[in-house]
Amino acid sequence: MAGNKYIKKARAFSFKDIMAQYGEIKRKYNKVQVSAHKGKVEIFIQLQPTAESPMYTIKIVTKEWEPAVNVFVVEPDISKYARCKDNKIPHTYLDGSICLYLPNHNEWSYHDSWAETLIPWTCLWLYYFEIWLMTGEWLGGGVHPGDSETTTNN
Amino acid sequence: MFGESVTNEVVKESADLTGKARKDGTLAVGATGILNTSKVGATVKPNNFYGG
Repeated sequence: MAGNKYIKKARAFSFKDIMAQYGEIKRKYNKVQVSAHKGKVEIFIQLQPTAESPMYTIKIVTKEWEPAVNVFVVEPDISKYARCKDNKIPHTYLDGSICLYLPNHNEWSYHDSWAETLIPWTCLWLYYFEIWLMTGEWLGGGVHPGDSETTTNN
Repeated sequence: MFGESVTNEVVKESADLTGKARKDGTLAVGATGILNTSKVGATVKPNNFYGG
């Protein structure tokens, strides 16, 4: 029992871990802000995947002692595009967060640098999102739940 | 109508080049988030987008 508790704790983020990730993001990206309240941390980053793209505000959300990290596009409000295109933006979860990697396939672990995984993947997701808006096709590959989960990254 | 189809072709060509750079491990993201093949910033590691 104690062993299980230890494993659970070890796979979750301490506040210090989260702040270390924030520090690295702040060093590597230009426009970064953080807010923290009762162990919940939100990191806001402004990103522009191409020179012609709008500036997007991204929010990375996590909580102390939880293993999950969720990434949302805050601005512009991309949910409005879902209403025009079959009510679903590709590769998003029900809560609106974006699906950046295939779970349980060792693509990402809580040890990984967010600055070197989640953020570059977010830029790539935004790039393919813009193409999807223009062409109606998602050209970034990926896996849908229920697929055989054969990896299809481009 | 014709213009839209040409634009889509150009966009898809650009996506093909980006996909190739991604596969080759030469795609990177700079400090403002701009994707590049000049190895400026963090290299984009292999991933598969998931979800519906």
